[in-house]
Amino acid sequence: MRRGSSRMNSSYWMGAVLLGAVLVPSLLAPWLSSADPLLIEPFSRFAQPGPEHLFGADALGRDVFSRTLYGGQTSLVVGAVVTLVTVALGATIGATSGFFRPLDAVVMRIMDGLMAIPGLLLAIALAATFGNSLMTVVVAIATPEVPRVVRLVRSLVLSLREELYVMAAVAVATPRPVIIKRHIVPNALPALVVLATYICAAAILTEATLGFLGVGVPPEYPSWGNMIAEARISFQVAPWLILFPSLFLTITVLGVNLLGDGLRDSLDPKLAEKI
Amino acid sequence: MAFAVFAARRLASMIWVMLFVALFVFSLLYLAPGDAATVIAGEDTSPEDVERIRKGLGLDQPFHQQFLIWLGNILQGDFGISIFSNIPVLELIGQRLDPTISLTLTTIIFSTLVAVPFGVIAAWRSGSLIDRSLMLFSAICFAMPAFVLGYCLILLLSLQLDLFPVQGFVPISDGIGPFLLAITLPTLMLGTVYIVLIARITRATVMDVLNEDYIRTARSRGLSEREVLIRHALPNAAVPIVTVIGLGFALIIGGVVITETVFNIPGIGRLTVDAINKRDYPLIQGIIILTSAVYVIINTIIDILYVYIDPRIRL
Amino acid sequence: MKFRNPLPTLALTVSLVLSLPALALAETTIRFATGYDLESIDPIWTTAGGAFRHGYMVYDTLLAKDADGLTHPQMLESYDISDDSLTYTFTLREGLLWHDGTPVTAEDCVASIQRWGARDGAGQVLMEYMSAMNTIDDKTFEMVLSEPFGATIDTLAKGAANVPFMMPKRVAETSPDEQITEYVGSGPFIFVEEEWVPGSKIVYRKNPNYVPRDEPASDVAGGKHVHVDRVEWLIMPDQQTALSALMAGEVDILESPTIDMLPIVDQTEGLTTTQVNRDGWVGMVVPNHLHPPFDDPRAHEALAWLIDQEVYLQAIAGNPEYSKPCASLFACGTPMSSDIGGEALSGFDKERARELFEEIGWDFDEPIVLLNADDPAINSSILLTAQALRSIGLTTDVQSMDWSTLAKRRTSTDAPEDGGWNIFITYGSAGSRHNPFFNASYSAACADGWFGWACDEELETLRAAWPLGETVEERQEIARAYQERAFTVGSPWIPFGQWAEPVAHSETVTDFVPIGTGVVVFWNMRKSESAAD
Repeated sequence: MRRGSSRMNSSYWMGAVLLGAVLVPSLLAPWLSSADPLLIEPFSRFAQPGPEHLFGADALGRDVFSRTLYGGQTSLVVGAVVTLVTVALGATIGATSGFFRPLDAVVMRIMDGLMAIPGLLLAIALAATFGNSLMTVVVAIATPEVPRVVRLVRSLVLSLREELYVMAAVAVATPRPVIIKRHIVPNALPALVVLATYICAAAILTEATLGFLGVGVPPEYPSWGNMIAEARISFQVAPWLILFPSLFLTITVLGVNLLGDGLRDSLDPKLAEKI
Repeated sequence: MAFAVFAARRLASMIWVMLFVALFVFSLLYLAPGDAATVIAGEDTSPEDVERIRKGLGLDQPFHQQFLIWLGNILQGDFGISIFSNIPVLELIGQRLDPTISLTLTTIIFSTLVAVPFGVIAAWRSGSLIDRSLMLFSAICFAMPAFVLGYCLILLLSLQLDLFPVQGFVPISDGIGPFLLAITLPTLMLGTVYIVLIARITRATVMDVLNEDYIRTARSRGLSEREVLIRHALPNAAVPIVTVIGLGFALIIGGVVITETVFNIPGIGRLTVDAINKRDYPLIQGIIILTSAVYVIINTIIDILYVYIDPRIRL
Repeated sequence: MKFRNPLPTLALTVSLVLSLPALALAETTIRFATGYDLESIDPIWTTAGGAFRHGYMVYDTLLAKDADGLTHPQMLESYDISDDSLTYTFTLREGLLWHDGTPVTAEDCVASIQRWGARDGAGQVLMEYMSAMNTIDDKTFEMVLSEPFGATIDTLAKGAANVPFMMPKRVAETSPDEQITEYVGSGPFIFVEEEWVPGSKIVYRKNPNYVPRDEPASDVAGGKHVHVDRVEWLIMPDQQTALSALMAGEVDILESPTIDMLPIVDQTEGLTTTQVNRDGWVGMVVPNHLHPPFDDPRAHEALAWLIDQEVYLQAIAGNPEYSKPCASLFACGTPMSSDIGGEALSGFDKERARELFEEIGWDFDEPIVLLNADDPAINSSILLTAQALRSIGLTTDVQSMDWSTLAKRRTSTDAPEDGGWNIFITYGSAGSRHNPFFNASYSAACADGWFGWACDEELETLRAAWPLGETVEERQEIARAYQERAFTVGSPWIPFGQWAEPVAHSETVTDFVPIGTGVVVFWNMRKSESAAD
């Protein structure tokens, strides 16, 4: 292999640094910004970036710096929750389905069905159906992603079942949960972790997209998607309104993706084919 | 024989999948809180008027009745009538096909033309500065929300440099020049993610192929790098690349919704957003069912072709 | 043998002759970017904005109100009211033709009024007074009332949705609960059905057979002269895209640029703005009268003390040039408006508001449910209202949804914690809020009334009495009494000001006719090859 380990590490580190650059200020938002991200001051609408408002003020006079940092919290929460839900649910369904053949056919038809609906279309339909709430957005983004995890885990389980040591464990009637815990989980983990980072990045982007289409988290929440969606109308009057959240969003997704690439390459170079 | 069985099984499963999609889409919209009747009624009407309109639309029937009637109609090719425009759903979708198909095709052609060489070069010079900057650039494009890219393109190439129209769609029948001019920016916007996807896969597969023994043999026989790449590496990497181009269809369908909104293109994507905003149930159902069907059919064909082309794949 | 007035034929010939040189020139097309889709194409079946606008293109009305609120015949030659005020006789103008070339008859008008009367709120009231409608001859019909109804002519001249547009008999015989499927009118423009792409493009061409009145155009009354061959409505929900298209010269008129966009329009060479929405919009905070705290008039007063109209308008319009505070329930600047009873509304007093909520005994920890929708004006005013409520220590629960969900949710009479609500905000055309009678939102008919279910017998009596007022002064008296009573017992809604976006357009387009209800009309409008100096 000509690829040196330096490249893998470099994308890993670069990802971590970029992500940290957004994560840390977002978590420290209450200390970094004194302005209330929700406070409306119509008379300072479209204030330019300056000492008063570091990143300027939006159409309702709310502080963009503060909103960008708090918006980061929303985006990261969406990313994290979607990832956890998707991986937990997908792994459970995938493992169960791989081990219990009778279930498999039904489960896989359902997963095929879900995958047959283009992801964003499904998310929009779900988000529009159940109204604006953080919960809805998480469900809407997670639903189209679940089948991806299910498929990955199921195929891992199916191939692991053929391995001698697993067959042996089955032969001596080891309880299935024990087999899953002892043999399947450790083998599936690297692939899951890497897939999880990609899902996380996709979730953050999809949150913004749903916000853009007006079916994202409730507009009173500061979220990057909502900020960009609201700033769109005043794109030419106050370009900074769209600039800062977009920049933070791009950095975050880039960071998460690079982190995933780095993890993939250092955990198992062969993973690229499976995911 | 095994192949015929496989193909038949694959086709049969398609039906189940579509049935599931139908049930899912129907129950989803059945549960929806928004109500077309209230939107139709407008702003200055009384609650009784709204109730009357609901009855008129059959929105007060029980679930299974609404579903069975609906499914039966769909099987006969009747997707119902749009609640708002009072025009059959299929006709509405038909009106919007031209822009979306044009945009999808230009995007696939453009992306493939850009992404494949991009990926091959990156693989060939893997680890070099070119590879790394290409990959970083692709990573940034992958991370940027498509609509932000769209507005940047409009601001820079349309409003500042006055090169392309800001919005709209010109059918190809109005001349190839105007058609291309109008579709360039949307294609650039929609193509970005797709380019990155294809480029990444191309890079990975070409890199794998370059490590194969026969490539080493070819190289050791003194073939030029260009010949090695074009004559040996690329054809062998073609199957996964073609697959990804097909699979990316779902990505494009999602992207079309955003692109058509930004560039005001009267295609399926905008129809979808409008239908959802107005809770036009028959229209939403029709669009999701039909796009899913197209997607399933494309995937089935690819699956079958894949097995047909590459017998190593386990049936 | 009936004497035919030669004038229309003459006018037709003259206009044909005059239009001949124009034939040699290229067609003039006005491209109009609008956010209003034609949700439904039937302006009698729905009050939605798109259909309302479409109605004024394709159809004409028997009567119409001018900019001063005076009623004039439009399709009518004249009308006559019997001495006992029970029989109204209407005579149509000569030469009126449907778009398919057949003449407009009295029968068509009778059928159209019947369909509209089954659907429209004010029309339903008129129908209650009506005992019969008879066609006398091709051009004449009469309306016989069972008892005098002073607002008959005003009701038929109604300029807000649903407007009584005239349709051919075969179309007007469509059930009022179903949409029409044939789009033939007698208005100044013809709908080009083949080019209609719902949700994207609507095309109209000039009606060559239209006979305008001789009077100058004023609001929707007067002569509707068409100087362009074609009008294309391009539906652009994204205002940013629409603005870019206007700047790039891809459209001629942008219907509703946000007020923030106006400086850009002004700076762009060749673009300008014109105020055609004469009355603009009225912002309305709607409290739910069924549930505490707004089942108590004192909570309404407290809310009024908390609403600082200038702040709301600043958040929505950001420019006093395009907005004005108005402490009246009737559009400011129109005859019925007054500031009676509006002290709390013109003032801002947090202390007073807090005291009032304390007097009621309201639990400050109980959340007040506010419904928010995905509309910039609604979103900003809901957030401001919530912020104001919180500023006196109240608890709020802002629930966001898209407009269609809100439109459904507001019909719920359940308690706020069970899926109901306390407050929602909307805005309506000030042009249809000139008096308490014609608009459903002034209803105080309890469960049968408008959302919020204001409930007061006296308000209902005053509402019903208004059209019976014989003079403007009498009607003003009634409107003042209505407003005073409303602000005392809890108004159906609390206004938070008026605003109006102008249209942005290319300088090549001139001669807009301002309309009270804000609809953009294309008669009289001219488009030149290059901007006039």
